[in-house]
Amino acid sequence: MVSARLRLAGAGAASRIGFAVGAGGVATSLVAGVIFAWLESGAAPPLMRHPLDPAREALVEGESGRFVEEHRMFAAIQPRDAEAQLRLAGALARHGDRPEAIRVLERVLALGPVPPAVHARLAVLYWNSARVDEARVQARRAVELGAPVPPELLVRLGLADG
Amino acid sequence: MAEATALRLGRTFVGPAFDLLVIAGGLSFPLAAWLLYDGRSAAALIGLSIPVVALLVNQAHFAASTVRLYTKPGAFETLPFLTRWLPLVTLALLSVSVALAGEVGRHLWALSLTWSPFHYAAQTFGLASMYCYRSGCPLSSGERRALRWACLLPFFKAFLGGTGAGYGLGWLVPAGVVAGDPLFFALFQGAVRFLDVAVFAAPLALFAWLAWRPAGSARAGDPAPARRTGMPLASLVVMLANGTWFVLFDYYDAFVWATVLHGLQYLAIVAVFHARDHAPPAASGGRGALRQVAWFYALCVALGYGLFQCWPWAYRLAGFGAVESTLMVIGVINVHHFVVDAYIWRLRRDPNYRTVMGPPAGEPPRG
Repeated sequence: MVSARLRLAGAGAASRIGFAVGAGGVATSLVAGVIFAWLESGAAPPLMRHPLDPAREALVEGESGRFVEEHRMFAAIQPRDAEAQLRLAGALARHGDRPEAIRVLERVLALGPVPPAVHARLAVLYWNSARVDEARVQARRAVELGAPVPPELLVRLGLADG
Repeated sequence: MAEATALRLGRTFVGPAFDLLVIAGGLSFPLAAWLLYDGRSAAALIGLSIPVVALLVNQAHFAASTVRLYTKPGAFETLPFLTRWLPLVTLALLSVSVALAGEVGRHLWALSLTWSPFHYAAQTFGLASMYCYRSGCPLSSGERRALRWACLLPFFKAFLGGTGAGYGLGWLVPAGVVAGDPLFFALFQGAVRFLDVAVFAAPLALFAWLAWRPAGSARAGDPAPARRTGMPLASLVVMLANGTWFVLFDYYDAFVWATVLHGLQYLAIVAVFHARDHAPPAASGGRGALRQVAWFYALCVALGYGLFQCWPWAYRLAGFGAVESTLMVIGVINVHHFVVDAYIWRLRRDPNYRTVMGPPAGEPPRG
């Protein structure tokens, strides 16, 4: 009886400590977040529109490396999401890493059916890498699926009249 | 005004219009019609105005389950794990997920997106049942099972619909595997087409069955046939509203809009329960309840802002990127909400039961 009461008291104390550590940890991190946001931007944390907004701000500030890294993480958390991979490919191409951008999209094609925009983006990347035949295949597929392809690219690939 | 009009809306919690449009989710129909006519995606609209809506509805609703948990009378005694240990577990899970975002965090993210439609389906079942019981339409165990399955159909649709994006079935099996096997793909497409119809047909069929069920359909131990009436319209609307998003919109748009409408619905019903638990009885009229609701909502918005907007900055302070900090916070708050919600709405041997069976707001209790 006594040992059962002691066990109960011990469990009560443990759960109180667990609550204090958990709730205290959450509260402390919220306050730390507010202070850090204030120090960084001079204001309380703004309402975020998209998790990649800070990446876009980094690009504006000339930190293109951070811009790509944030996109890499976005794609790593959503490895089977073609839209996330498409964003990564766009960031890599913008950063000048066209071969890596192509590799990302080729991996996306292997995932299964993809949004038509993947074919259009790949067509542009192949064309800019002087891989004309592959560019034509992807541009044709994009047109079939109704994705917008730059008209001048279609003309150069012989898929539209100039 | 509690009892139904022509089509028997059912016994309301607040009033016919509010219950039908907000708690039952009837707003979904005009909004869905406008969005289909407008043609813009949720992403296009998000950039215009959603951050404020997200704070006032979505984020406030996620916070509402936590506020409800800690303000529910007796919750510390009846739900010791949720009230005392879950914050620590959540903090640990979040920290591990941010630190290992590519390995662990991605599964937390996929879990939260896969679980969401199930959570909406479970809430739909809960609300539809509450309206039935409140409105004098007790359900036999078989009818209750049928209601649960009808409410789960939009989840099954979302489970298949998320395959291409890597959620639902796609989290377990890559879309390439589904599309690569002709038989598997044909079955997949057939199931999607079946669910597109069944999501609406099943609730309508159940509504019709409960309206015209034979008086002797109750089994031994079920409520007396003489007291059984048909399913209230509010229960049907709850089910059709949840199905609307997952059938008429693509996966992402369905996810976004269902979350907004579900959040609104959730805030309304949880405020009703909170007010019933905390407002002083009738003496101060409706003002005591209104004050309780205002406080409750203000707490939800403040906590929602803290969790969704401030918490990611703490991980950025620790040197992590904005993307993993933000997505993991969103994921862990979702999962926390789903877990807490699975317990705080229990009716058996719970004061919640009194609220479900009680009179609408503004009406004195009977007896």
